[in-house]
Amino acid sequence: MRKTYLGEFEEVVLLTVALRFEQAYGVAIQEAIQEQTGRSISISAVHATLHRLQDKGFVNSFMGGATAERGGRRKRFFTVTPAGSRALHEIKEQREQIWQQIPAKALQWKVL
Amino acid sequence: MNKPHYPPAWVDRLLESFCAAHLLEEVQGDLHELYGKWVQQYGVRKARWLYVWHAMKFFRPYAFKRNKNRYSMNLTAMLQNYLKIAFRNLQRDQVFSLINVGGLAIGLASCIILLLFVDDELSYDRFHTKKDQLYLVWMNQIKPNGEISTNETTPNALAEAILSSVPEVVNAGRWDWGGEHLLAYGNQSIKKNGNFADPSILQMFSFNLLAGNPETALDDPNAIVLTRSVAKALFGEEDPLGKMVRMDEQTDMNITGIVADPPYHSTLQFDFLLPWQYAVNLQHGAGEPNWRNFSFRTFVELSDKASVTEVNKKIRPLVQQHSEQKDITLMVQPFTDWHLYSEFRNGIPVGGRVEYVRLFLIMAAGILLIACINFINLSTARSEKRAREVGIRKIAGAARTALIGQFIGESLILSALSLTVAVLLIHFTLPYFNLLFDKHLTLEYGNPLYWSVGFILILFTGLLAGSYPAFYLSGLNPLRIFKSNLRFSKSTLRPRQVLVVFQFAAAIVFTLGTLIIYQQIQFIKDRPIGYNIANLLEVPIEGNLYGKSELLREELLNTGAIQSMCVLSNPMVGGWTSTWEVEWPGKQPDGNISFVQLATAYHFTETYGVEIVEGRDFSEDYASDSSAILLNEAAVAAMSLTNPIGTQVKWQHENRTVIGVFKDFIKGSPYQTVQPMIIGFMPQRASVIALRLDNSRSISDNLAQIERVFKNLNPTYPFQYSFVDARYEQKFVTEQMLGQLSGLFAGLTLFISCLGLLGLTAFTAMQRTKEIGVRKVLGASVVSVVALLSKDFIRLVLIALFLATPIAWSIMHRWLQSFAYRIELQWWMFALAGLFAVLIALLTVSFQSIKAALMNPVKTLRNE
Repeated sequence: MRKTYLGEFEEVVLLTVALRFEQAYGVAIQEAIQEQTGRSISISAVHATLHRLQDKGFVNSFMGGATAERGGRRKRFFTVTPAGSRALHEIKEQREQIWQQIPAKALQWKVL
Repeated sequence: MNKPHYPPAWVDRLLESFCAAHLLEEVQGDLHELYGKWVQQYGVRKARWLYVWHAMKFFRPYAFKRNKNRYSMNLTAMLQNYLKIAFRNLQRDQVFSLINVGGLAIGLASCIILLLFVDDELSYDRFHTKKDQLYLVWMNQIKPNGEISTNETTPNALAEAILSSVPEVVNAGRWDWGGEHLLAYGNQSIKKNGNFADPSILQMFSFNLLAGNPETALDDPNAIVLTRSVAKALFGEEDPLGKMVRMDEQTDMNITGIVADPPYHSTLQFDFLLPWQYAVNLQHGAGEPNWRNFSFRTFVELSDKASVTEVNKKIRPLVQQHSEQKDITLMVQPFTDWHLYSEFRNGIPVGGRVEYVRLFLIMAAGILLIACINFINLSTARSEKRAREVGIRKIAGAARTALIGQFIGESLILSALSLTVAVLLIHFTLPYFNLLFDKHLTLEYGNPLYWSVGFILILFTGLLAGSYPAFYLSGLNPLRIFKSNLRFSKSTLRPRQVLVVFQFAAAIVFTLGTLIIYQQIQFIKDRPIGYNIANLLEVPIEGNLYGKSELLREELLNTGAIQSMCVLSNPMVGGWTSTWEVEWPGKQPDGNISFVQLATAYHFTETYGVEIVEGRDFSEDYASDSSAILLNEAAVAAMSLTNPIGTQVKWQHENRTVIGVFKDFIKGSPYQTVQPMIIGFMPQRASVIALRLDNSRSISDNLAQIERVFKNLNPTYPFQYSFVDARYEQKFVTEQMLGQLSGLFAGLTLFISCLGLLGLTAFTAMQRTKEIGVRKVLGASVVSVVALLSKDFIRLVLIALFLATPIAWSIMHRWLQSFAYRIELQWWMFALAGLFAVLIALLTVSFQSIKAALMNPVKTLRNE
């Protein structure tokens, strides 16, 4: 089977789902991304990405936790699936492997 | 923040309108939650704007997507259920299904075969690459009686004249009527049909030259271009190019080209082509350019942008300009129209084979319609059984559209099934049709056009046939279905009665047509021919036979195989020439008559068995007979001669004496009246030898002996003969074909109509089950119940008969008008066809009604 590709924004969203473990739903994820990366993302983009991740099998979802401020509507909570977890680990390991091999002089400049 | 702020409701509604239902809750939830935050952060005004903006951003593909996982299982289950129910229904009532699918299949098969005919007719001469620029020159001649006769015969000088005086014409070529020639190479010899053609012909028409140069192949007067099959027959595997063939035992012709056999869809057919220059050298009438002999076809190729009206204007007076014949004008017609539009009245094309094309298209549509009507009838008849299913489905929540889809789908499946059966039917019957109608129709399984036509047919019949039951049944109220035994009102029966009447009317028209066509053919066949066609043999005069007829006659008589022999200018069944140029004493100045002219020598009446009514036949005893003629009775009457014998008649530019009058015999069409005829004594014009066989001996013995004599005198030519009775029979081919076709369609429409009737009877019998039960309990006999059920249907058939009679009468009356010698339409024909239809209908109806009448009332009345 072809390995499913994980895009940069998808990776960020997937990491955020893990970050907000058991509390990961649309608005919460949007806020977390804002906090962590400073990126302002529209809610529709988050939704679209979450559903794409679900189609790819990296997250699961269930409905629950209705609140008054949502007009009694339930939230869709997302959890990372084993496949999603494996994909994140793999990316991380690949990056680290590359980082370790980069000569120190090659990347002298960084954010202070 | 006491009062909670709500986001604009219209945005929510908008969201609801486009967002997929299963996503709506989370989307709206998140948006509302964010709205609350925005209100706190930016105030209501900006929050509202942000809300609109972010809601709008959901206008993206993901939000429209229907959740696959949620419904797809159900959908396949429903489709599976539909299919299952469809096949169970087919299985439950196998006779019904057979009738339904079979009827539709037969209808589709006939429709497709007719379409194949049409396609075949329309594809003639379309293979020439220059087809849009090629035209054929037609000649209009005003006859002495004022009519215009139109023929594709032109003088040999025309092509030159057109090229020099009509600038729009880029190429012109002549083509003669063709003739048989003997070709010999080594010890192989065959007789084949060749045409003289101008060199330009090979450049204008796209006959596929396999070897040789199309520009020069016909330049040399002794060149010959063979078709591949002729080349193969003469040379086998040898390369024929550059070799010589001997033609007619006279000339050696140099093979300059090999052409593929003309396609089947070519009006121009030939076995080999000869250069026009050869005909000129032969002085074959094609010789010196002249404007008197109208014996050749002229084809022209116009430049791309030429206007046909302009060309016609310039071509029209060419004959008048070059000759004294002022009654002749010319015109061009597209070459591709030649096959379809070859009949003219007063110089205007009035049709030709295109009439068959139209007729076939109408018949195809008619048959398909009748078959579809049947399908509707039968499906509706069964709908009572399906009504309960519809009720249950509706209660379980089926939407009307789903039900319509189900029924249309079922009828699409049935029509696809029918088409498959139809294709099988066609596959196996097509060879028979090709034989019957002398066609080369094939189903091209690899042709996407055929597939798309098939697909359209399925869609068309499926939708048409399925629409009535689909819309009617799906519209039923479930409450009504279950409350009582469903009663279809009279209004649903009425359209189906109309359909049955329509079907039977068509069937009766076809039946009458068949009956009348066969009556007419029989009538013509029984018509006295005027000579004895049995045991009569005709052999062409060719090779060494010219001028040896006396020797031949002597030798043949010695063998005892024949009783008599004579020579004739034309075969008795076949072509002839006619002339207007005849003068006789007492002729009115405007009294021109067209005479059929034949030339013969001695023993004509004896050999053919023509009866002399006055005077005598040509005889060796009178030297003056070399300038004598015979007339037929029609000629005597037309010339108003009271005492014909001894009359001086000027014919063929010389004065001749009438020595005998013979009884009229049929020379041309047996359907027409006999034309005035002159038979002159002109042995030099003879082209046919007629032999009266001695019928006391076996035909094969006779033939063997005759062949020996012929072979002896004319060794290189194969002995070719034809029996006059067999050729006479050929004259009925077209009408016989029409009769067979009409018979076939009569059978088909009757069959399909009966299926429709069967369906309708079954339906009413089912409706009236209880009524019949009650009647039987009260003492009604089986006969009376059968009569009760059949009465209505017989009435329908009678109405159909009533409608069909005038239609059939007018069609057949018009058809008969084209024959001078014809039967009269009589009432008994209509009565017979009507009786036939009523009987068949009665048979069909009784099958069902007897079944209904025999049913045990206990069973029918038990469950209420």
